Amino acid sequence: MARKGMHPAMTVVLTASALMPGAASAAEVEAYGTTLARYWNQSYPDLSKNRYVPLTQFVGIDATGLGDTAWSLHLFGWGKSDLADQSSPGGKGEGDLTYGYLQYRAPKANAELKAGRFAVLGAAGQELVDGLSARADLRGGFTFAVFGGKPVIYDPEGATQAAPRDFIAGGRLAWRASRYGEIGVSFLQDGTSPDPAAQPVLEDRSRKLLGGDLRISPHASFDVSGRVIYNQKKEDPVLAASQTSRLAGQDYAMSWKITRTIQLSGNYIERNFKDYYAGTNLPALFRLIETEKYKAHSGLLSFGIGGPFQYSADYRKARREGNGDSTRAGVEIRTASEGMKLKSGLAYHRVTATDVPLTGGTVAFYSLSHSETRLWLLHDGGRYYLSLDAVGYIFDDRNNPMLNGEPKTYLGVASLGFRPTKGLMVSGDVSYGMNPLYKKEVRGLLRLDFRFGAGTKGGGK
Amino acid sequence: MKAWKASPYLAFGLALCLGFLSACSLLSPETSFAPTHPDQLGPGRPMCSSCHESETFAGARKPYSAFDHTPAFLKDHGLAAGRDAGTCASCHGQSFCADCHSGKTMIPPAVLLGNRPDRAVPHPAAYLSTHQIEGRLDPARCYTCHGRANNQRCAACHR
Repeated sequence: MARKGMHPAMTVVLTASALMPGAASAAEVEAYGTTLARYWNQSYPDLSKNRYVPLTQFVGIDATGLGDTAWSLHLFGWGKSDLADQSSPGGKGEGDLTYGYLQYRAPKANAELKAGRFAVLGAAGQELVDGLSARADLRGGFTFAVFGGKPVIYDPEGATQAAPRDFIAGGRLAWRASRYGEIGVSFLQDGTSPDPAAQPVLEDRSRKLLGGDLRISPHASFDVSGRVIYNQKKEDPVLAASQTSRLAGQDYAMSWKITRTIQLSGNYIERNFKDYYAGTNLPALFRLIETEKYKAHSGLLSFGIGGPFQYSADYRKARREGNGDSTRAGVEIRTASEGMKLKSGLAYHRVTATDVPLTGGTVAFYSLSHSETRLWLLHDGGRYYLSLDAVGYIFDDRNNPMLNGEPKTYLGVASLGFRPTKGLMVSGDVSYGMNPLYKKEVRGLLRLDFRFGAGTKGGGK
Repeated sequence: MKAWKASPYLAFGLALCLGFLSACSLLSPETSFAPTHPDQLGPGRPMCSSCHESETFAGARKPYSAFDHTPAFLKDHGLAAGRDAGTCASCHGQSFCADCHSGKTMIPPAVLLGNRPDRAVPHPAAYLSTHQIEGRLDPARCYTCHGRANNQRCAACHR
């Protein structure tokens, strides 16, 4: 199950690599990865004790200029092996190909082709696909992107089996007025090719989405963006009659750089859960609340952007139909020394959400209000590396059944690293904390980061 | 379920693809955006407009300032990434995105990047005990990453 959809992608990538003349002679190859060894013990109320020692390896390869052409190969994946008790639902040994694709970047028109497993992003959704994609800029300011293939689907254990989907396709067409803005339409559809012999599925989680997006920027300092997504899948006639809108979601963002170091931004989002959650493979979680709507608006004011002291104040007010109103407001300061060797941050946020209805509880309403404080410090001395991160939550309502009577949560993480060479770092993390689930939680982690080769992406960003 | 052959959207996409393959004369003659930033960038979050004051770049036709890594940009980078992923790719490998946005992972980003508190990663420390609070306040945020993938752990309790 864990590797569902992995083999077609690997087949495409490996076959295409073999066919590529001179694939082995890439002009620039970079290999990187992280090895993580973790250890923790857990004791449960039934007196059972477990010891977890998972070993996880992330590996990536970027090879550009294959055979001195504009083709490149990009692979990234991970594997995990439990050396003691099973630490995750998928088994003691697991792995996944996060992405693996061949890419061609043309010297003109930002034209690009991809084959293999890749992520697609567009107004009408984000997706992981085993297939092909293409995009290019056209004359007159037009630009387009299309993709098609097989969707990468993970069916979690215990969830109602979603309808099998064996194809996915989508695209975006946009027009850009230089400097001033952009307008685009996009679509995404997945589903199953008709098969009369197939058994009917109980739940159809296929999707058919239509999106639109807009960006207006009359001046380099001012920017307004928007995006709407409509669910276009035909529903049961009875349901359709009771539904007045097929709007799945809409997002709007505004940004105004008042000066070079001061910025004011704002957002408005709206979600119609029934249409927004269409296509989930975890209906037990997401479809329980499908009749609700959610709206939120937020603002963020930042001072000292790019300087040694950066101050931010943010506010967000949300309304979820079933839960009522909530607000989140707070401030943050980040500091950075010259050369960025020493960085730190301090943030405080207050969340207010009182009178939240509680279904099936001993009280009709409860409060989710709480305060959150975070302090972190990072010192990168080149050869040595040190970071400290502490976060704490204080909840107002001790009777909140989610808290098990414990109104405080905190966790601290300390990390110390050593770089024997430029491309190698060994580090260790120790975390200590308490929360409503564990009276005391101590974890340890050993990390080995490596990066070899001639990659120049932004200097290792 | 609709037959895919009957989909006007798919036909639209295929027509665009065929148009791309058969009518190269429609392509913009502009030089593509640089696949990698030509100079080594300094440490910290870059402000593109500090060097590229009023230029626009090929293809995206936006001023570089639209990609300044301000706090607001970091918070809402999804819109920019959806439209101009090629611009992001000039500095970021896709593995940078995968640190937080992958179809499936065993390790929460805050643990994987426990030595990088300066990066704004989702699920800060102690999230297991606080996710039910945030999930009730804004479940749509959960859906973005866990609605269709990376939700094996969710299913352990949410059956």
